[in-house]
Amino acid sequence: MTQKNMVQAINEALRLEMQRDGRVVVLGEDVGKVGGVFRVTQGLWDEFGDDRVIDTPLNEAGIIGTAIGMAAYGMRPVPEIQFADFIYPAFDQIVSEAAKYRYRSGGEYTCPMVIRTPYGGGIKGGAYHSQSPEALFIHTAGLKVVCPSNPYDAKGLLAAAIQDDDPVLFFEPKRVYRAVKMDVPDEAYTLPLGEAKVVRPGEDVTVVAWGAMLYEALSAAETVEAQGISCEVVDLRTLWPLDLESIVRSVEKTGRIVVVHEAPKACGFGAEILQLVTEQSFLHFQAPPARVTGWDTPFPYTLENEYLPLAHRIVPQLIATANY
Amino acid sequence: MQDLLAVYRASVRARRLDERLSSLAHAGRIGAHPDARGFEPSLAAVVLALRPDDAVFPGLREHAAALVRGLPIADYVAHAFGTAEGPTHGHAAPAMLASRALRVGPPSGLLSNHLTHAAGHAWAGKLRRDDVVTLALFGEAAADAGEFHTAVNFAGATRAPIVFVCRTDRTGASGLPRPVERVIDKAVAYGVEAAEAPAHDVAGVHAALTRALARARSGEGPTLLEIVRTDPACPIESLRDALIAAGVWDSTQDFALHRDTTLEIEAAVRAAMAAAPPARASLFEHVFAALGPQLEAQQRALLDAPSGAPVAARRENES
Repeated sequence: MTQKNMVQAINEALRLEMQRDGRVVVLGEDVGKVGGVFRVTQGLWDEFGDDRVIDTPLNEAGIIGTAIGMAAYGMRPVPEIQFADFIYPAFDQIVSEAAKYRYRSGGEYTCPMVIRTPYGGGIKGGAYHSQSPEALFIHTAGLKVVCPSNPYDAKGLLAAAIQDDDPVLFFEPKRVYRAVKMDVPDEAYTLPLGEAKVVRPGEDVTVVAWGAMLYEALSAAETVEAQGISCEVVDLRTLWPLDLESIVRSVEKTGRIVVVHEAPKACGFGAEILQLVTEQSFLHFQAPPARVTGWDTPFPYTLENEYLPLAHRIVPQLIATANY
Repeated sequence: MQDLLAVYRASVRARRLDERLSSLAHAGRIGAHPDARGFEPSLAAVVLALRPDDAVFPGLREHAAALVRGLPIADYVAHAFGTAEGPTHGHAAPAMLASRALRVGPPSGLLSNHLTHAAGHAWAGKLRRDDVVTLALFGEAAADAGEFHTAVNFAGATRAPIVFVCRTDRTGASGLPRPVERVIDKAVAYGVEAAEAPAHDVAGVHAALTRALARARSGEGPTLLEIVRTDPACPIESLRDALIAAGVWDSTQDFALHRDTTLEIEAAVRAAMAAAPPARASLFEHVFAALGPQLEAQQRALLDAPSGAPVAARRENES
């Protein structure tokens, strides 16, 4: 057990999975000798060589398209898209091909791959280095979507994603990469996909968040605690398949729910979560289900703290929901 | 020299099947069938030149590749009808065939997407140091689409053991604007060897492919082979005439081949028309390895709901 940040935890998961299974390869832009722009793959090229840690041409559709072919061959590719904002050139390959490979071949071919990609704002990255496109992939049948909030979860969820037989989008909160350190076991372990975690128990309001926004939700929950509002904070960890049961269990206790996400509001994943909970728990509601999200604007450069649903914007919503 | 009789037999089977499936599609008995008539002998020649371990990634109009590799006509027809017994269990439209056992990859409905998969497949074979060549098939229009360039770029950059085979039809006037006439000229920029062969010269196509396969196997990298059709005459009839003139085939054998193929197709059509449609629950099969809670709930909802057809279609049937 050593203190590790998320970059180190993900690096360790990749290394252990590559040691365990010779079919696992890492590919992407500068993931080899350079070790990735965030250094997540650092040292892997030295240990596994350029047959397994592969620098590719700078073409996202090609990275994902060739990874699909590798998966068809029987390998377990783990392509990196350098920033989630760069995923759109590969969008067609992900949603039209990878997501449907098993289905449209009637199970003849499968597409086990994990697309790792740093997402989210708060690093002064502007529109091309800050977005949160998770809802687009949840909307696509055939994809799993994972978004860890801390180093321990990141290591276990990534190992599970690599061992999964279907394509997984693995969104890494880049703002958390080096900001959080915690005890992470040195040995290999997996955490099952599709299980949310109550990270702060409470009685009055259920707050659902994931990735970097979990810390904003936790901070807001602490702030309103002083005003006598007890929040139960749920870290989704896997967005799809959704652990609706855990959310419903919490909401049927608190009677109130607020979802927090960085992505824009319209058709954001918060809308889907709230509707699914409404279908099951309508009679338990003591306040309208609510969202605190990014705005329906492009991601800004200068005013990113106005755009992001940070704690200071979550607090008033928690108070309004609790006092409805 | 390749067995031209095998090429001819495969071409006749592909043609008869295409004709039948196209007429069934016109009659509305099956979904739209992408007609692939016109290149059967050259397609059969390149696919028959492969070893069993080699792989083929066909596009939408190279579905005969699965047939040439040994997919039974009955499976092919069951697939077109979307029965539970078909290779994709009713999940995919006609021509979207795939077979892991025959090493035929899934075609894409998007013009050039499968080419990048083929490039990755070939690259994987090289990384694993297996002696496997991947064949990617497409029509000339796919060379206008982005993934053609992505695939050829990646193949060139990785020196992957792959042969891209392009069907170019110059028998009619193409109305599409093109930067260059020959697709192979686009290969040059990506460091990919270019070769050209006329479609009516089956032996020439085979020889060009054999050279490309040898290059791929010896680590010299990818080739783009452009098969160009300029002769409007039916290539299957031309091949038949040549085989008869050479004294290796006669009209009695030819009649028997067409008759047997037709009987096989008709038996397959009858079986497919009598087959039950896939079970309703199978709508949710092969989305993931395991259903998961959301799909489980939706599958239950489907099974609890009545079956039916769209309102407009129902009215049409009543009148």
